[in-house]
Amino acid sequence: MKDFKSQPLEKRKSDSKKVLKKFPTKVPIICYKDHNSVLPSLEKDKYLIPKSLKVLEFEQIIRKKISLGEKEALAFFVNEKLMPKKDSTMDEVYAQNKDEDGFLYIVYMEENISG
Amino acid sequence: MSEFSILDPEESYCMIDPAKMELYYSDNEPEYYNGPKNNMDKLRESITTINKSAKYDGPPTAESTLVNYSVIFGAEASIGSTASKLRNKPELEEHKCDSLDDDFSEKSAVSVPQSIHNKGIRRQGQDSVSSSYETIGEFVDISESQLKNLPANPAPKNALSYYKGVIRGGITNLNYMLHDKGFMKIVGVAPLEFDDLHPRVNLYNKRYNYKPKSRFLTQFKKIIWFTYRKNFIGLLNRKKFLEKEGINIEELNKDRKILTSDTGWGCMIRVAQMILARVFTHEKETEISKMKIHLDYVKQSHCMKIKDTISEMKPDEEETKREIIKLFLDNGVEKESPFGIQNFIEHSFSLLKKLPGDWYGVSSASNILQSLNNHYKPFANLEIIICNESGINEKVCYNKSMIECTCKKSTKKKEDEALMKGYDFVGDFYKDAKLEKKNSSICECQLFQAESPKYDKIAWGVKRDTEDGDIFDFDRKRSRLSDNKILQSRLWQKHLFIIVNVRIGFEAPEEHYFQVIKDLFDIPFCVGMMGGKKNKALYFVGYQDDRLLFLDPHYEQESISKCDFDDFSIESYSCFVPKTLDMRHLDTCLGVGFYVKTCDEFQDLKDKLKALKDEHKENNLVSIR
Repeated sequence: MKDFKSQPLEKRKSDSKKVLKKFPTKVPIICYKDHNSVLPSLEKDKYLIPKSLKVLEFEQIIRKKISLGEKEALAFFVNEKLMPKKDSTMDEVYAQNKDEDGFLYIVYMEENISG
Repeated sequence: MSEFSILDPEESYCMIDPAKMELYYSDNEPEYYNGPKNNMDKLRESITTINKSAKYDGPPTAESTLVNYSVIFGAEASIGSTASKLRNKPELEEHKCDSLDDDFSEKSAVSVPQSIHNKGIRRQGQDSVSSSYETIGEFVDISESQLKNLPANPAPKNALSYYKGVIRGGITNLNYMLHDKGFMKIVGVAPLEFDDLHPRVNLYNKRYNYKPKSRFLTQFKKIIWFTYRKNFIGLLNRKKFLEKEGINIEELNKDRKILTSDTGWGCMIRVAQMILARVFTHEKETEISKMKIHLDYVKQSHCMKIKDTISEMKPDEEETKREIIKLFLDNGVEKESPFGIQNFIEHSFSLLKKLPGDWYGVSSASNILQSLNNHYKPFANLEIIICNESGINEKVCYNKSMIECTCKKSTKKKEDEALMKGYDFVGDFYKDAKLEKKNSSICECQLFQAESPKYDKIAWGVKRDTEDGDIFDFDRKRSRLSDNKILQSRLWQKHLFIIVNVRIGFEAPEEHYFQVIKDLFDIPFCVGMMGGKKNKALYFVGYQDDRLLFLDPHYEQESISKCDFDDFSIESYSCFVPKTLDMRHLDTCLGVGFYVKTCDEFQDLKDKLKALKDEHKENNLVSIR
């Protein structure tokens, strides 16, 4: 994520605009794991997601991509807040939480442990 | 020595200063703390006393200080029922008795030379030590015999690690007790206030009033409390298991110390045990009520006059509790105590590749519970279902618990319906019906159209004419009566323990979830929540205002030795001081537990969760899909 954000804001802005123009039915998303997380990283962190995709479906796609079993806990966050509820669409999430550069940043991590 | 800062320095705790080898108390007080204030004088006094008594005449070395502290804490940890036993019988011998078992490999986890173990260190001002200890209660009792001479030789390495273990346990318990006595505060945690100002408290789905207090306390003490235990049989060291898994013992043990205590790391395991024990308590109750129904049935159908004492007999509560605890005992035989720590760790090693000493989260711990339950099945019908953050999957629950079936009614005419009245069921009744389960044998049964007054719905019910007098539980929505003789339906056969893992925030909990959490406790099927505060697992059982009531496993006790299994005291499995946690300090991971026995209950749970969803909209926590 750092790599991506280290690019100048103007460049990111124009990137997102380009993508949105080219794919009007999709939203640009940057998805990566939290820096403390021990989960596997995603191979790529830039995604174009259909607007109509449900949050739940998106989460399941990521779950598959990092080959995490159904029983293991996985949590998603946008702007250091919990991802909105499962039946909202990615378009809604994007509209409410997108960054000033026009991308939506999503962080995932595993459960907390205690002793 | 840095490993002694095992307790979170951000919180106000007693710790050992690794450099000075002294107990100290850190007193940073966050603004939002609203629990009882520290009794600083008492606290300082007790810490100074402990420090003083750990000093000795000769030149100080880290080793001798260690020994001294451990002597103090060794005595401290022996409060209560195990106290006298410990004093007469050194812990070491007890341990030897455990490792004689064939089940375990012979390598003993702790081998402290007797000569060192029995030697303490002479201190200055002994009298003042013992007298000031009395001021902080009964929990430190230094007897003369423990204050002997300095060890002649420095303690060997494994002895030191043993002493460190004792001190770690000692500090844990010191924190626990200083807090109990109101001398020390722990951020966010406070003893339950139950008075004019805080007149009500909710335990599970029941609300209690402080007048009379005892009614609540009786129920609270009934909850089975699991805590850290020490001196159990070394973990991941059973020959049978290691051989079965094809593990090279020497390689596995090369870099590790075999743990005989879970202090400092096992709290989530204990919390998982507590919530499962709660489910087992319900299972036992179900067994008992079934037995009652059956007795009623026998009484009615055979017009027998069974003495009322039998049908109204109350099972011995203590005995039931003991039976449940037995399933969780450390040191137990594999099959008799399937949920003991040895089994838990072995399953966790096979399943998640976790080693003793690793920490657990809600979902990893519940996965192990599920695996253990599938393997040992202490209750034939109980099934554990784990749901991730996407909520309860209705289909999975139905698939686990339902079986397709058809039921043929007999041509015989209706029987007297009066027979069924004892069961809350009324309606048409046919005597010799046949039930055919998919992929299963046909069984003789009695069929009746039944009505359950609780839900005000018409249903089909079947009563099997067998010894155990089971009432069959059909899915009403799926019941079809094809030609007046054949009933097609799905039969509910399982008791479900559903654990839903939810997340309530990124680093801190989001406040709009607090009301939902409380509402979840009000659902009658809720068996509590696994969760905690930062790094510390707690078992939540209820709430009061914006605080959650919990049982805390962070207290070290002696494990029940195998020799005492038949007649151990269950006293150490009850918690006497209810405590509450400010919800703002909740950890963001929670495991909500539900227990449903019947199709109706599951339907009811679904309805209640849906109602919560309508009420809280996007702030809802547990969804159903």
